[in-house]
Amino acid sequence: MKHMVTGMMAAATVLGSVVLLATGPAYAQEMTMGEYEGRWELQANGDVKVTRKFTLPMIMYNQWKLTNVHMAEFRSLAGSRSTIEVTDKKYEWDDVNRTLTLSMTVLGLPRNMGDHWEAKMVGGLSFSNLDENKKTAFFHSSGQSPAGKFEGRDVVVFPGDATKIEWNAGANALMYRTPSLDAPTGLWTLLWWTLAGLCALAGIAMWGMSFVRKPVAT
Amino acid sequence: MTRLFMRRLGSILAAASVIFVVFALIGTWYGPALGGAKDASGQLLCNLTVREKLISAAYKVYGAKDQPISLWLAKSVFKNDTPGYIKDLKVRYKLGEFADWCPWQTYPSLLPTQTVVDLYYPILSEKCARLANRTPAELQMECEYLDSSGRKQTLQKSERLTVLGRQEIYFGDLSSREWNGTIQDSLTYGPLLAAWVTKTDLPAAGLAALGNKAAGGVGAYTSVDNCIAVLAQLYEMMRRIHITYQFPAGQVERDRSFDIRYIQTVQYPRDVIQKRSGTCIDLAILYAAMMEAVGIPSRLVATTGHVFPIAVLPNGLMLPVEATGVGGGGTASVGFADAVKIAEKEWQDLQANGQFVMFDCQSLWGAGVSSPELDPLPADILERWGITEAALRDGGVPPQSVPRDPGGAGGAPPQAPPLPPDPGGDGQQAVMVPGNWVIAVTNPGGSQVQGVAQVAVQGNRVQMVSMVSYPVTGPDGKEHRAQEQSSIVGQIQGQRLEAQCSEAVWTLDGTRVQPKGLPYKIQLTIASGGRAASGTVINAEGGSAQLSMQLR
Repeated sequence: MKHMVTGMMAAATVLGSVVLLATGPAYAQEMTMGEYEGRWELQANGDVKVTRKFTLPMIMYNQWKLTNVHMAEFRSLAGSRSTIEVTDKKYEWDDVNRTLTLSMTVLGLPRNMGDHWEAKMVGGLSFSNLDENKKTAFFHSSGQSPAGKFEGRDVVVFPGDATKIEWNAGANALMYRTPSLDAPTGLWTLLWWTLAGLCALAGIAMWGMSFVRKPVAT
Repeated sequence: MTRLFMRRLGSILAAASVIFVVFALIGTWYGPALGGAKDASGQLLCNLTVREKLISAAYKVYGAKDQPISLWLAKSVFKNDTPGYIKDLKVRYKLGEFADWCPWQTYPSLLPTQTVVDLYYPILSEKCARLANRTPAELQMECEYLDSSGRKQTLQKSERLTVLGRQEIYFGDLSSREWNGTIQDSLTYGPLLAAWVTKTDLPAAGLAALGNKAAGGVGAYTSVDNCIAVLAQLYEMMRRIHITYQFPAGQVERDRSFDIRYIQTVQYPRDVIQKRSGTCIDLAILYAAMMEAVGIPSRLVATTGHVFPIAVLPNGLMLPVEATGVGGGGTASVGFADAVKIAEKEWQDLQANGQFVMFDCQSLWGAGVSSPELDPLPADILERWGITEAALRDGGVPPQSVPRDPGGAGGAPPQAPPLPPDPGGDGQQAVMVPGNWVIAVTNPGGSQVQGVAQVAVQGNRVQMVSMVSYPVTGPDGKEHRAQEQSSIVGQIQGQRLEAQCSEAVWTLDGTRVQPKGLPYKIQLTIASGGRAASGTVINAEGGSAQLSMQLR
């Protein structure tokens, strides 16, 4: 049931949470710290390429591998269970550097509102700042899990032609505009309308002038 | 130019403009014919996914769209596979007689290759919670949109699903290929059991009231002793009215009481009381409902083939109770103390192997799992069922008292003894008796470790050296022994001890490891007499746990 979340947080929660068997707990044991770096590339059509790279202490790395976190978490992203739709799921273990890289493409995550896009962030990720020039937004999160403490940063990368990028704290959403939102008008169609307009105006002008002009004396 | 010429020219231009307008309209409607847009091949693709089964007892959770726990019933994935723009996409759903057409969900525009995921969270009629048996239902999806040519298109799809009877639940929908073998993986829908814990339902609340009365009408959560007394009477009430454990019909494996692979029948507390029998899940739910009815927070612990309830005592400690101890199904009836002993052993074993899932009923209710609306019952229903008479017969039997020091079993840490009543508030400085103390640390997750502490006192200064030792499962899957020795220094102020630990020695299987989270801050309230204390310990990372101490 922990996977039943919506919106941008669905992917974030899944990529950040871990399925673990219970281990011997003590208040003094919650010290292992995992870190992650995330990247969310917003595409022009509303898909999002998500990558999260976790760098873990050895004990956490081994625990995750033992419990097969990818299987537990990626399975929950199956279309029949998840609130989001994902493709191209991949995970890569790096035993030498103790990293786990999870990646996927989330389809249709930002909502097309007609005149702008709205990407709702649901809890967990805290907005840090927005760089309109570089078209990036930064979020951070930290949390406690049975596996240890997490800290990390997510970078949201907007499409290159995005404009009017803003963070709406009230709606907890990123908003931006792209030219792709505007349906292109056929050039030929434009031409016909232009010609029709010009001819109509010219025709009306001719008729009008014909009434104004004095008849030629014969 | 003569007037005639100008009028003729004007007419020709007007005719030309009409022709151009016709071309433009054709271009707009049929863009490809005159090169307005690229060939509009492709279509709006739609994939409809519907959950196979609907758990009617938890029907409200399907409509709790923005709650932490919510279940969509259907999911439509639209993809614009045309090179043009699709406008004004509208989607709506209907579920047979259980939910009429919902309002349209609208999407103003879909770019070429854009995907839209639409989820259906139905507001279901309480009709579905009245179903006695499984019932098929048809879910219909309807959508409308304007294609790239501006023409209105419609699409309908439907899928069948099964609405389970109100007493049915299925725990998971993972295929055998996906299941990773853990209990956690098998109980995806286990949290929905909280919908069965009907604490306000008349029979459960009424029986709980009788139990509380038998305990002397004490406030169940005013102290640990009172809480245990009430818990004991609630359990004894089940025995007194002859509720017995019933092995589920059709269950093949006799070493488990329910099979998570199949649809499980789960009774409401009112049904168990009326029939005076239930499976382990039924009895656990009944006991949990009675606990909640008298204000004692409850947990349900589920493991392979078994469920038992846990009470959260006022001091934060957990008291598991084996509800099937009421007897039946080939097992003898045992008293409350023995039911606690049995459950404690089970709980210790489960904490060691991790093969369990715990459900916090109150949290789940707050997260959107609500009980269904059951048929109203007359106020004297317990009398009609003969429950009141049975409950009050014999004037009540004193329950077995819970042993103060239940002791450990199999090397696992024993349950901490309950604490004496709260200290008096006369404002005088408390004293702490020096010597050997037993300590118990309870983590937020409910797990607990025990240890010992050597306490030395000089005036209002207190010095302690504590030692806790616990098993931990390592990455190699084997059990190791962790040990933490902490030096704590503090000062008594009034009734409270404020202390700090800045030095600690940790070992794992005898090998020293680096301690983390120092310094710890400890805040304890000392009981009158100075022989017990309880409070919290907070580490430098902000993690906290409950700490209780008792003089040996």
